[in-house]
Amino acid sequence: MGKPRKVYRQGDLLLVEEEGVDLRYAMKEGEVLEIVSENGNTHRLKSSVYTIHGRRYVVVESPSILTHPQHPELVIEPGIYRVEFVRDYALNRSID
Amino acid sequence: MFCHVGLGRAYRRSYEFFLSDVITSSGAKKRFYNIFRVEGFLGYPLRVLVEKFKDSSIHMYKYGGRQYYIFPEKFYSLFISISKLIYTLDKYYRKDVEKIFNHIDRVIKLCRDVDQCVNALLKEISAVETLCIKRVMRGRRGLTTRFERGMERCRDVVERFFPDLLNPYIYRYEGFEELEEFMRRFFGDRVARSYRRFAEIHSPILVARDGIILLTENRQPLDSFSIYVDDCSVTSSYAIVKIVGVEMLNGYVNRVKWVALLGIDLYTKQLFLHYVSPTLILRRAELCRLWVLGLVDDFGKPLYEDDLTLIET
Repeated sequence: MGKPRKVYRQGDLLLVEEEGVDLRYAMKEGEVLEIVSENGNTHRLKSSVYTIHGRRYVVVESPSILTHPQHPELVIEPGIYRVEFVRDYALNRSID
Repeated sequence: MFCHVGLGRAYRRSYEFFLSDVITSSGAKKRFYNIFRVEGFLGYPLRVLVEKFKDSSIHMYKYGGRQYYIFPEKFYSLFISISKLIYTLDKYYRKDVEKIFNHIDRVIKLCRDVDQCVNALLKEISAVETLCIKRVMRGRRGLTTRFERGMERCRDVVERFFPDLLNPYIYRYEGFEELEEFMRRFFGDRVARSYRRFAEIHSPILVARDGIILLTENRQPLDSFSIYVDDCSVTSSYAIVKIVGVEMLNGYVNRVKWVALLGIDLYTKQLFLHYVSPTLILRRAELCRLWVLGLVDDFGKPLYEDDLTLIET
């Protein structure tokens, strides 16, 4: 059995570990993931951010800290993570 | 009038039944249908009837891969009754074709002549419908009892974390434009629009923003609407309750309008409300939370094959 897939959650933001994602042809967005939540505060993670096929991925090279003014910090282990948000049946797709 | 019954070669495949002025194959070929025509997939029961009363058939022909049998008009009630019985049994056996066919076989075996057979079929329809109603009522009673127990079990959690839920502020609106405008005070355009669309079908609905607000149309009475807490869970970082909005009839749940997860983030003290798939109505609050996080599907099955470690704050 392989090692379990890590899923990090901070508020409405989820980082789902992905293995074997080919990011060679992905568009690089920047070196910091910044997501503004509904109340105006920002989730922030120092990592390379890529977009491919409408999905956003972050590549964490060394243990990095996911911060948000209202939530405790979260240490993200190195790896490739898909950026996801909590979902809602009424809103029909993830809140973004 | 003549009853034309067309049965496919593979008798289970399909059937056609219609009334026609003509006795000949023009009925099917030139479509000389009159008053009534029905075409369906469960041809087997009609075949059983045709076999039983084959001697009374006054003509037959082949057309379009079907063998047609012509019967006098008095057979009309018989074929209509069997169609109704198929429809009722379809509900009762939840589309299990084998069970439907076996049941019809049993009933038709008791037929002796047309009138007696019609009576037997009508009696059977009524008996099966009664069973269906009883089953539905049992389900409604069971669901209501479950919700009442859940409400009792989670009363402490509701009173501590979500006291507004017991007596929510009610916002009444005239039209959906007004509702959307109201929602824009709390949410962005896309969320406001989505809630409006959701309310168009599922009203009254709840929203949570600082407090809990029940949104309902002005002309919609709230007497028959209830919100039940079905399950709850409290951890060091959050408290959640699974809530169900239902329409009541005669003291029992009649229709489930929506299923949602109401929670509070104990770090930020922020309320959150997420509607979940109604297929999770009988599932625990924690599983609904996993659905919100996108880790299980609409039926509560894990979406990822490998093991997961959920790390959260």
